[in-house]
Amino acid sequence: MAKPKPKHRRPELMAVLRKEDRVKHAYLLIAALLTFFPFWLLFVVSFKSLPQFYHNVWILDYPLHFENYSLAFRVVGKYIINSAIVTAATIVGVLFVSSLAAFAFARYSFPARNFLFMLIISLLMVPSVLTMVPAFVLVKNLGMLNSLWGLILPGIAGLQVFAIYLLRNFMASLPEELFEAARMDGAGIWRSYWHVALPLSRPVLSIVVITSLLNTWNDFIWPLIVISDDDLRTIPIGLAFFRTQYQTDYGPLMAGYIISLLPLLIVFLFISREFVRGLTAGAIKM
Amino acid sequence: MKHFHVRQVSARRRRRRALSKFPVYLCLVPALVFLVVFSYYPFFSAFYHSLFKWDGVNSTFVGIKNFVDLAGDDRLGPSVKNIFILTSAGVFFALTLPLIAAVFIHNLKSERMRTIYRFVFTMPLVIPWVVTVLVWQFLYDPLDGPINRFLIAAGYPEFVRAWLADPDIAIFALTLIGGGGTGVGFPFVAGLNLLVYLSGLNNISSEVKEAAILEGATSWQMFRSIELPLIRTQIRINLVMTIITQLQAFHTIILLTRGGPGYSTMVPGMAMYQDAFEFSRMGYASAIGVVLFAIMMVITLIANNRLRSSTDFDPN
Repeated sequence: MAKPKPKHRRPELMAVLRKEDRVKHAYLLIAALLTFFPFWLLFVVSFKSLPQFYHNVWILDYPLHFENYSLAFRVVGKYIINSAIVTAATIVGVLFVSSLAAFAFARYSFPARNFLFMLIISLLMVPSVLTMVPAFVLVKNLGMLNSLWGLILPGIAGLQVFAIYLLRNFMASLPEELFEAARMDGAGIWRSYWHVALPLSRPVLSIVVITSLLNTWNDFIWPLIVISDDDLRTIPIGLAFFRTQYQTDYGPLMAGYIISLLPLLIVFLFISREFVRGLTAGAIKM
Repeated sequence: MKHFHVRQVSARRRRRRALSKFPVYLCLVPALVFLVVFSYYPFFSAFYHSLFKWDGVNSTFVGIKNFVDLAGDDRLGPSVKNIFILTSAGVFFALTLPLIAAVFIHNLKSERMRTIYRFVFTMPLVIPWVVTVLVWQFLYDPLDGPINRFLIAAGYPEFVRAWLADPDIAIFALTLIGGGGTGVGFPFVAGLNLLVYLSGLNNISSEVKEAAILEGATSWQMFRSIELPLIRTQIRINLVMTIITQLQAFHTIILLTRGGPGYSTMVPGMAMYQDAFEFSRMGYASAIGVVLFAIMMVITLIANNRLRSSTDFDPN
């Protein structure tokens, strides 16, 4: 409602806003509670023995069965290590491949530059559902089935597209004087890449790291078809397998789920601001 | 003599320029190798093999037989129906609840509360969605699941269902879990959609809003005439992102129901997976992929043309 008296407008408006904030907080709090309630149950059940579970599933009761965690870790631990290897290698690969290409696209002109760039960018429109089957046959023919390379190399190829796009735009916006100065000091292409372009692109590189991290860590369908050896399973497919093993042994099962969500959660707690930025940038690529 | 000298210099310069281009091309080599081997080869292979009977090793040309068979596939009807249910539910939820939440968060007076809510609603995105899906499987469990146990304890045993095993309700039970990947599931607020809306709201210049406040605009008027029109781009992004994700999603389904019971939760992605990796019909699976790709392209193009607005951001 429009306020008739201009003099009182400000204080009145503040009061209205504050009252409205109550509705906002109510909505947001209910949404947050509903979002996290399943995870609360997950947390509670992970400490229960089976009789405790059948007695009450809603709140913690004593004694807490920490042995669920040691039991689960024996299975889930190796999945975490595999996921960590694949994710680290993929991130390093994406950073290297995409920053080099983006640097060339952004700072040098050469024949077919725009054509090559379009060739890369067009792939943003290609869904994984189209390429999944032929990519599987390719990986099989390359002998990378049932090996972590079969996850890492296609992973780099998939993630480099968006990374090159982001990095090229950013590097192209860097002031030419910096590169000119480096050239004056006798720096060649490698040194202006390593000492000028890369350090300045750190904010965008962090976006690339975060989108690659989440994508690789959470990838499910591709590892499911490439990996069949239990010792090579990554977390998502490992958990699916773990579930069929433990069926109704809910305590260790839920403890396994908790263990496998911890690594990223811990990273997130430290750099949540970067995550928010990286995820947002990743979403608006279309 | 002088003339000759000039020509010699320019020749040397040209050679030097050609040489200096060499490292530039070298920078592109790794990216292009990955591009050709793991992206473009499978891309063209999919189109090529969609015209073949192919088990991954041997291929026989069959023309458009795969596409004709597709039209008569038993799974086509259920797949279309289910993908329609999942996508409409996904779109409906993506355009309502997180939008309300984003506007609420954005207009909170306390800066700190805004940060806290954004933090809280981003957190589910770093929880592997496989865990989320498996937790939902546990919630839905017919005997041990908290949902049925709650219904019994609360005195409503008549509402107890085998949520994921009942062909009449399994697909609706799945709409609450979401497609996986974008972190969108019940209550549909936390996830990428929210972050996209928030980034749009943050881009609205504060002068516009201050002017509106001075004019005495109510928060509803503010939402209706300023915020909503100015985040059209973000709404379009969420719309397209949700449709594209839902159309190809079968992550949840392969984990929980594998298309069953019967074909009651079958979706195109699941059918493709079955053909490729259970029946070794890779050519047929490629044809399914080609059709899905065509549908996605059409939807993206329509969405981008119809819903383009003056607030679209220009990538360059």
